[in-house]
Amino acid sequence: MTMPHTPARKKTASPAASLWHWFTPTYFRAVSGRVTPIALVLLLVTLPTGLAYAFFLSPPDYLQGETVRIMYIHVPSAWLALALYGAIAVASGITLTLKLPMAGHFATAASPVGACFTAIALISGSLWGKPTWGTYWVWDARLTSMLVLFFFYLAHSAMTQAFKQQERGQQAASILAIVGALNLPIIKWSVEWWHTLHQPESISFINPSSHIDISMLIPLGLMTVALFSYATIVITARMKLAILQQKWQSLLYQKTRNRS
Amino acid sequence: MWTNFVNCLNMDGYGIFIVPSWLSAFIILSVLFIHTQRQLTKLRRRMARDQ
Repeated sequence: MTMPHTPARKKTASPAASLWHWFTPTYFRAVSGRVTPIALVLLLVTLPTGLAYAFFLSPPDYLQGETVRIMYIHVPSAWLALALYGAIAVASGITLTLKLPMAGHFATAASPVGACFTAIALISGSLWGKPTWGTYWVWDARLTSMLVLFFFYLAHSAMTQAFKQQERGQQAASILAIVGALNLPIIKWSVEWWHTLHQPESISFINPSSHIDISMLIPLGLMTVALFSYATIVITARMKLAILQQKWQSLLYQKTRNRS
Repeated sequence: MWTNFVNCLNMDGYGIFIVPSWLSAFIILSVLFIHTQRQLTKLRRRMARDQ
Protein backbone atom coordinates (compact mmCIF):
# COMPACT_ATOMS: atom_id res chain seq x y z
CA MET A 1 0.00 0.00 0.00
CA THR A 2 1.41 3.35 -0.95
CA MET A 3 1.01 6.49 1.05
CA PRO A 4 -1.05 9.22 -0.58
CA HIS A 5 1.02 11.98 -2.09
CA THR A 6 1.35 14.93 0.19
CA PRO A 7 2.49 18.22 -1.29
CA ALA A 8 5.82 19.52 -0.02
CA ARG A 9 5.42 22.10 2.70
CA LYS A 10 6.49 25.57 1.71
CA LYS A 11 9.35 27.02 3.72
CA THR A 12 7.69 30.07 5.15
CA ALA A 13 9.69 30.39 8.39
CA SER A 14 11.51 33.68 8.70
CA PRO A 15 15.20 33.69 9.75
CA ALA A 16 14.18 34.91 13.21
CA ALA A 17 11.70 32.05 13.56
CA SER A 18 14.28 29.46 12.51
CA LEU A 19 16.73 30.97 15.02
CA TRP A 20 14.02 30.61 17.64
CA HIS A 21 13.71 26.91 16.71
CA TRP A 22 17.38 26.38 17.61
CA PHE A 23 16.72 27.69 21.09
CA THR A 24 13.61 25.69 21.99
CA PRO A 25 13.51 23.13 24.85
CA THR A 26 12.53 20.41 22.33
CA TYR A 27 15.61 21.05 20.21
CA PHE A 28 17.77 21.31 23.36
CA ARG A 29 16.53 17.89 24.54
CA ALA A 30 17.46 16.37 21.18
CA VAL A 31 20.92 17.99 21.17
CA SER A 32 21.67 17.26 24.84
CA GLY A 33 20.76 13.61 24.26
CA ARG A 34 23.67 13.44 21.80
CA VAL A 35 26.10 15.81 23.50
CA THR A 36 26.01 14.32 27.01
CA PRO A 37 27.17 10.78 26.03
CA ILE A 38 29.99 12.24 23.90
CA ALA A 39 31.09 14.47 26.81
CA LEU A 40 30.87 11.50 29.19
CA VAL A 41 33.10 9.35 26.95
CA LEU A 42 35.58 12.23 26.60
CA LEU A 43 35.62 12.67 30.40
CA LEU A 44 36.12 8.93 31.03
CA VAL A 45 39.04 8.87 28.58
CA THR A 46 40.80 12.14 29.36
CA LEU A 47 40.43 12.25 33.16
CA PRO A 48 42.33 9.02 34.01
CA THR A 49 44.92 9.73 31.29
CA GLY A 50 45.32 13.30 32.47
CA LEU A 51 45.69 12.20 36.11
CA ALA A 52 48.24 9.54 35.10
CA TYR A 53 50.27 12.15 33.24
CA ALA A 54 49.87 14.75 35.99
CA PHE A 55 51.01 12.52 38.85
CA PHE A 56 53.14 9.78 37.28
CA LEU A 57 54.48 10.59 33.83
CA SER A 58 55.18 14.32 33.74
CA PRO A 59 58.51 15.37 35.27
CA PRO A 60 58.89 17.83 38.17
CA ASP A 61 59.73 21.40 37.17
CA TYR A 62 63.42 22.39 37.30
CA LEU A 63 62.55 25.44 39.43
CA GLN A 64 59.28 24.69 41.24
CA GLY A 65 59.80 20.95 41.72
CA GLU A 66 56.69 18.86 42.42
CA THR A 67 54.43 21.87 43.06
CA VAL A 68 54.09 22.30 39.30
CA ARG A 69 51.50 19.49 39.47
CA ILE A 70 49.03 22.00 40.95
CA MET A 71 49.12 23.72 37.53
CA TYR A 72 47.19 20.83 35.93
CA ILE A 73 44.10 21.64 38.02
CA HIS A 74 44.67 25.38 38.56
CA VAL A 75 45.10 26.52 34.94
CA PRO A 76 42.19 24.56 33.32
CA SER A 77 39.89 25.72 36.16
CA ALA A 78 40.89 29.36 35.62
CA TRP A 79 40.37 29.03 31.84
CA LEU A 80 36.93 27.50 32.37
CA ALA A 81 35.99 30.17 34.92
CA LEU A 82 36.75 32.89 32.37
CA ALA A 83 35.24 31.06 29.38
CA LEU A 84 32.00 30.30 31.21
CA TYR A 85 31.59 33.90 32.36
CA GLY A 86 32.14 35.07 28.77
CA ALA A 87 29.50 32.59 27.58
CA ILE A 88 27.11 33.75 30.34
CA ALA A 89 27.61 37.38 29.29
CA VAL A 90 26.81 36.53 25.63
CA ALA A 91 23.76 34.48 26.71
CA SER A 92 22.65 37.38 28.90
CA GLY A 93 22.87 39.74 25.93
CA ILE A 94 20.68 37.33 23.94
CA THR A 95 18.22 37.07 26.86
CA LEU A 96 17.81 40.83 27.05
CA THR A 97 17.67 41.56 23.32
CA LEU A 98 16.11 38.51 21.60
CA LYS A 99 14.22 37.23 24.69
CA LEU A 100 15.20 33.62 23.98
CA PRO A 101 14.37 31.59 27.14
CA MET A 102 17.05 28.96 26.50
CA ALA A 103 19.78 31.62 26.70
CA GLY A 104 18.50 32.56 30.16
CA HIS A 105 18.42 28.90 31.17
CA PHE A 106 22.02 28.50 30.00
CA ALA A 107 23.16 31.50 32.09
CA THR A 108 21.28 30.16 35.16
CA ALA A 109 22.81 26.69 34.68
CA ALA A 110 26.38 27.81 33.97
CA SER A 111 26.65 30.30 36.83
CA PRO A 112 27.16 27.84 39.76
CA VAL A 113 29.49 25.73 37.60
CA GLY A 114 31.61 28.79 36.82
CA ALA A 115 31.60 29.77 40.50
CA CYS A 116 32.94 26.31 41.41
CA PHE A 117 35.76 26.55 38.85
CA THR A 118 36.65 30.05 40.09
CA ALA A 119 36.75 28.73 43.67
CA ILE A 120 39.03 25.86 42.58
CA ALA A 121 41.32 28.30 40.73
CA LEU A 122 41.50 30.54 43.82
CA ILE A 123 42.08 27.70 46.31
CA SER A 124 44.66 25.86 44.20
CA GLY A 125 46.35 29.14 43.28
CA SER A 126 46.58 30.10 46.91
CA LEU A 127 48.07 26.70 47.82
CA TRP A 128 50.51 27.02 44.91
CA GLY A 129 51.42 30.56 45.99
CA LYS A 130 52.75 29.57 49.41
CA PRO A 131 55.72 27.44 48.22
CA THR A 132 56.31 29.64 45.16
CA TRP A 133 55.86 33.20 46.45
CA GLY A 134 56.05 32.57 50.20
CA THR A 135 52.47 33.68 50.83
CA TYR A 136 48.97 32.28 50.33
CA TRP A 137 47.45 35.57 49.22
CA VAL A 138 48.47 38.99 47.96
CA TRP A 139 46.15 41.74 46.78
CA ASP A 140 47.72 41.92 43.34
CA ALA A 141 45.73 42.67 40.19
CA ARG A 142 45.28 39.07 38.93
CA LEU A 143 44.27 37.55 42.27
CA THR A 144 41.96 40.42 43.22
CA SER A 145 40.23 40.47 39.81
CA MET A 146 39.67 36.69 40.05
CA LEU A 147 38.13 37.18 43.49
CA VAL A 148 35.87 39.87 42.01
CA LEU A 149 34.85 37.35 39.30
CA PHE A 150 33.93 34.87 42.04
CA PHE A 151 31.72 37.50 43.72
CA PHE A 152 30.07 38.26 40.37
CA TYR A 153 29.31 34.55 39.94
CA LEU A 154 27.79 34.38 43.44
CA ALA A 155 25.75 37.54 42.85
CA HIS A 156 24.52 36.19 39.49
CA SER A 157 23.42 32.89 41.04
CA ALA A 158 21.70 34.72 43.91
CA MET A 159 19.96 37.10 41.50
CA THR A 160 18.48 34.27 39.40
CA GLN A 161 16.91 32.84 42.58
CA ALA A 162 15.82 36.20 44.04
CA PHE A 163 12.48 36.46 42.19
CA LYS A 164 9.43 34.24 42.33
CA GLN A 165 9.16 34.35 38.54
CA GLN A 166 12.18 32.64 36.98
CA GLU A 167 12.18 34.90 33.90
CA ARG A 168 12.40 38.11 35.97
CA GLY A 169 15.33 36.70 37.93
CA GLN A 170 17.09 35.77 34.70
CA GLN A 171 16.59 39.25 33.25
CA ALA A 172 17.95 40.97 36.36
CA ALA A 173 20.90 38.59 36.47
CA SER A 174 21.56 39.25 32.77
CA ILE A 175 22.21 42.94 33.46
CA LEU A 176 24.61 41.99 36.25
CA ALA A 177 26.40 39.48 34.01
CA ILE A 178 26.94 42.07 31.27
CA VAL A 179 28.30 44.60 33.79
CA GLY A 180 30.58 41.90 35.23
CA ALA A 181 31.95 41.09 31.77
CA LEU A 182 34.03 44.28 32.05
CA ASN A 183 36.13 42.36 34.58
CA LEU A 184 37.17 39.73 31.98
CA PRO A 185 39.71 41.86 30.05
CA ILE A 186 41.04 43.13 33.39
CA ILE A 187 41.70 39.52 34.50
CA LYS A 188 43.20 38.58 31.14
CA TRP A 189 45.61 41.48 30.80
CA SER A 190 46.18 42.29 34.48
CA VAL A 191 49.55 40.52 34.39
CA GLU A 192 50.65 42.77 31.51
CA TRP A 193 49.10 46.08 32.60
CA TRP A 194 50.42 45.98 36.17
CA HIS A 195 53.47 44.54 37.91
CA THR A 196 51.94 41.50 39.57
CA LEU A 197 53.33 38.66 41.65
CA HIS A 198 51.36 36.32 39.37
CA GLN A 199 53.45 35.25 36.39
CA PRO A 200 52.54 36.34 32.82
CA GLU A 201 50.74 33.73 30.73
CA SER A 202 52.88 30.87 29.42
CA ILE A 203 50.45 29.77 26.72
CA SER A 204 48.85 32.17 24.30
CA PHE A 205 45.98 31.18 22.03
CA ILE A 206 46.66 34.19 19.78
CA ASN A 207 50.42 33.69 19.62
CA PRO A 208 51.02 29.94 19.22
CA SER A 209 54.45 30.05 20.88
CA SER A 210 54.51 28.15 24.18
CA HIS A 211 56.97 28.32 27.05
CA ILE A 212 55.85 24.95 28.41
CA ASP A 213 57.57 21.68 27.57
CA ILE A 214 55.47 19.10 25.71
CA SER A 215 55.70 16.70 28.70
CA MET A 216 53.75 19.28 30.74
CA LEU A 217 51.56 20.48 27.88
CA ILE A 218 50.02 17.00 27.40
CA PRO A 219 48.57 16.66 30.95
CA LEU A 220 47.48 20.30 30.84
CA GLY A 221 45.59 19.68 27.59
CA LEU A 222 44.07 16.42 28.84
CA MET A 223 42.87 17.98 32.09
CA THR A 224 41.42 20.94 30.16
CA VAL A 225 39.39 18.56 27.95
CA ALA A 226 38.32 16.55 31.03
CA LEU A 227 37.11 19.61 32.94
CA PHE A 228 35.43 21.03 29.82
CA SER A 229 33.57 17.71 29.36
CA TYR A 230 32.56 17.72 33.04
CA ALA A 231 31.26 21.29 32.69
CA THR A 232 29.25 20.29 29.59
CA ILE A 233 27.61 17.38 31.43
CA VAL A 234 26.72 19.42 34.52
CA ILE A 235 25.53 22.49 32.59
CA THR A 236 23.31 20.29 30.40
CA ALA A 237 21.81 18.66 33.50
CA ARG A 238 21.26 22.05 35.14
CA MET A 239 19.62 23.40 31.97
CA LYS A 240 17.21 20.46 32.09
CA LEU A 241 16.55 21.41 35.72
CA ALA A 242 15.84 25.05 34.77
CA ILE A 243 13.43 23.96 32.01
CA LEU A 244 11.61 21.60 34.40
CA GLN A 245 11.40 24.33 37.06
CA GLN A 246 9.80 26.70 34.55
CA LYS A 247 7.37 23.99 33.47
CA TRP A 248 6.47 23.23 37.07
CA GLN A 249 5.94 26.91 37.86
CA SER A 250 3.53 27.29 34.94
CA LEU A 251 1.71 24.10 36.00
CA LEU A 252 1.29 25.44 39.54
CA TYR A 253 0.09 28.78 38.15
CA GLN A 254 -2.52 27.02 35.99
CA LYS A 255 -3.69 24.93 38.94
CA THR A 256 -4.18 27.94 41.21
CA ARG A 257 -5.99 29.79 38.40
CA ASN A 258 -8.35 26.85 37.83
CA ARG A 259 -9.16 26.68 41.58
CA SER A 260 -9.96 30.39 41.77
CA MET B 1 57.26 7.10 37.62
CA TRP B 2 56.23 5.95 41.13
CA THR B 3 58.79 8.33 42.65
CA ASN B 4 56.88 11.28 41.16
CA PHE B 5 53.63 10.09 42.75
CA VAL B 6 55.22 9.32 46.13
CA ASN B 7 56.84 12.77 46.16
CA CYS B 8 53.44 14.34 45.49
CA LEU B 9 51.96 12.63 48.55
CA ASN B 10 54.90 13.40 50.84
CA MET B 11 53.31 15.52 53.55
CA ASP B 12 56.72 16.57 54.88
CA GLY B 13 57.49 18.00 51.47
CA TYR B 14 55.32 19.67 48.83
CA GLY B 15 52.49 17.15 49.38
CA ILE B 16 51.06 19.50 51.99
CA PHE B 17 50.19 21.89 49.13
CA ILE B 18 49.57 19.45 46.25
CA VAL B 19 47.16 17.07 48.04
CA PRO B 20 44.73 19.73 49.39
CA SER B 21 44.60 21.59 46.07
CA TRP B 22 43.57 18.47 44.11
CA LEU B 23 41.38 17.15 46.91
CA SER B 24 39.45 20.42 47.22
CA ALA B 25 38.88 20.42 43.45
CA PHE B 26 37.50 16.87 43.49
CA ILE B 27 35.30 17.59 46.52
CA ILE B 28 33.86 20.79 44.97
CA LEU B 29 33.17 19.13 41.60
CA SER B 30 31.67 16.00 43.20
CA VAL B 31 29.38 18.05 45.46
CA LEU B 32 28.20 20.12 42.47
CA PHE B 33 27.45 17.00 40.42
CA ILE B 34 25.63 15.19 43.25
CA HIS B 35 23.68 18.35 44.16
CA THR B 36 22.56 18.79 40.52
CA GLN B 37 21.43 15.18 40.23
CA ARG B 38 19.58 15.33 43.57
CA GLN B 39 17.77 18.53 42.56
CA LEU B 40 16.72 16.95 39.26
CA THR B 41 15.43 13.81 40.98
CA LYS B 42 13.59 15.85 43.62
CA LEU B 43 11.89 18.07 41.06
CA ARG B 44 10.90 15.15 38.83
CA ARG B 45 9.39 13.36 41.84
CA ARG B 46 7.52 16.49 42.94
CA MET B 47 6.17 17.04 39.42
CA ALA B 48 5.03 13.41 39.16
CA ARG B 49 3.30 13.68 42.55
CA ASP B 50 1.54 16.97 41.69
CA GLN B 51 0.30 15.73 38.31
